[in-house]
Amino acid sequence: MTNDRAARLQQVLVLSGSPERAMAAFGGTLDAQLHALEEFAVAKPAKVLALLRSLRGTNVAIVTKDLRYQRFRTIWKLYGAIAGLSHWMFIDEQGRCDRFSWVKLFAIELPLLVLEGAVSLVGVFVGWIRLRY
Amino acid sequence: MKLLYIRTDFYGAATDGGSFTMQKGILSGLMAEGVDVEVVTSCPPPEHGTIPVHVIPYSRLTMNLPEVLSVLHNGRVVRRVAPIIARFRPDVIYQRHSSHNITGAMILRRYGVPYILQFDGSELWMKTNWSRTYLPRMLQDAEHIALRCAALVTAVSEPMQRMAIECGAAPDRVVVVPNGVDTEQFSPSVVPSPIRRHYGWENAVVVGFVGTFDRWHGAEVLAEALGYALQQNSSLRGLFVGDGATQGRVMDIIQRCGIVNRVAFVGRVPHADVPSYLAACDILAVPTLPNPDGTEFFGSPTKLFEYMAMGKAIVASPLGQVRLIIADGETGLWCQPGDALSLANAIVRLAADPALRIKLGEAARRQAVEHHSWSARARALLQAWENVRASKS
Repeated sequence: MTNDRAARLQQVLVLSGSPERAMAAFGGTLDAQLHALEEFAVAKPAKVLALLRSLRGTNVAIVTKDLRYQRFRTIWKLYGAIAGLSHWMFIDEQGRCDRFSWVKLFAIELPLLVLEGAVSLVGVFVGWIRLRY
Repeated sequence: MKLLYIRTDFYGAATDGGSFTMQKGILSGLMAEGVDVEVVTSCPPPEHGTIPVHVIPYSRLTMNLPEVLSVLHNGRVVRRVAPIIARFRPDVIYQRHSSHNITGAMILRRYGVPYILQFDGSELWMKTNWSRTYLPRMLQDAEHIALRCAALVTAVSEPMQRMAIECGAAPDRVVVVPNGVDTEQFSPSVVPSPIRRHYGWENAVVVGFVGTFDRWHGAEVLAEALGYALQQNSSLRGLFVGDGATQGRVMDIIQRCGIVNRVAFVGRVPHADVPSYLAACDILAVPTLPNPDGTEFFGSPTKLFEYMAMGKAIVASPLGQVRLIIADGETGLWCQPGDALSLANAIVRLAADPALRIKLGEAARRQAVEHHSWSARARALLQAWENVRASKS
């Protein structure tokens, strides 16, 4: 059965995995425009923002092999928010979906990112000390 | 002998590619030699048959900042591996080297179990040349510790052996154990995939490539070469198996060359299915690219050994170990690394000469069976470990 929301997807960014399998698992068919992305493109904000801005006003999906192991998801969401995308989501080959929501971004994901930053600072500092001594 | 294999790098959901093939191959080779093996990993485990696999997952709180998860994961692994070590009582740990990974050294200090480090390249070099590092000094120190504390370091090639020594390993503790192949799984008797019939390529000469489309694989050069080769021989077809970072660029080149209808991409397939795709090809390519900083190529392409075991004609860039394995005109043909025209000429020559393809393929198969099986690699590793133990006692 075809999912209407999936059928309306116009742009698909492929981080990893198969867009065909992801779309099939999500319940749609792949007739959108495909863009290949490297996971570490996340370290090139200017390039990523330019791409995402060019997709404004369209329905976008980012395909990943397995959403549970997709790193930098909050960073991607921040880029999407800055670029002005509002209708977009992550999908994976198992049919999982993580839809972008402003509320979720500000209420859950950004506070968790701040916490992650703090834990990371402490962890890297302790790791550094242990490495040296 | 009991061996605990530890691979805790973050590879997400991917379980295909040369490093996984190597992992499965060497572990099955060790088991065939009577070694009792268990595996610790941190992501979904690849298929390991009867080998017990323990998963120590990454913290979900460290998924958004680069490298940090690797730094923090050391402590997590060392804590959680305790019950496995207490129950299994391994004689040795075999740890795959990865970014900021010092679990082997920490386990040695805490539990007294020595470790063999599987060194597949300097993480500092790879991150500097192929991606980016945010904690270079820390990465360098971690690498130095991992190499210095290892009882034995295995490198897949001589250039990598030199790299390990430069990064801190004791010269007398580094041995070369190249990648290999399961010569029963990859053999000329494999039934070909029906893909030729599917595309109507029954009478074509099919050029194949299998890989994870990493930057050094040179799949773009092969795409360009197919464009040139098809101008000289219209019966050629291209088959790409796998996916990865450069696949988008490869597809762009195929489009630009106007050969979309003569090339097929089958995407990522289970490793068990790879032999049938290779069997459907006539010529197989290893168009490896030189290192971007001019240093010697240090890889040991798994695909090369798999191609050889299939008994197919190979065209390869003679870089590093490839030059030692493939003798030009005897077990394959060489082409200039990164030169699409040179690769195209070799492909066209092979396409026009079926007898040469058979001759090269048979010689390559013989070499693979005699020298490059995983069993041979496992025996070499065990011999090196015995030498270390003998020198200590």
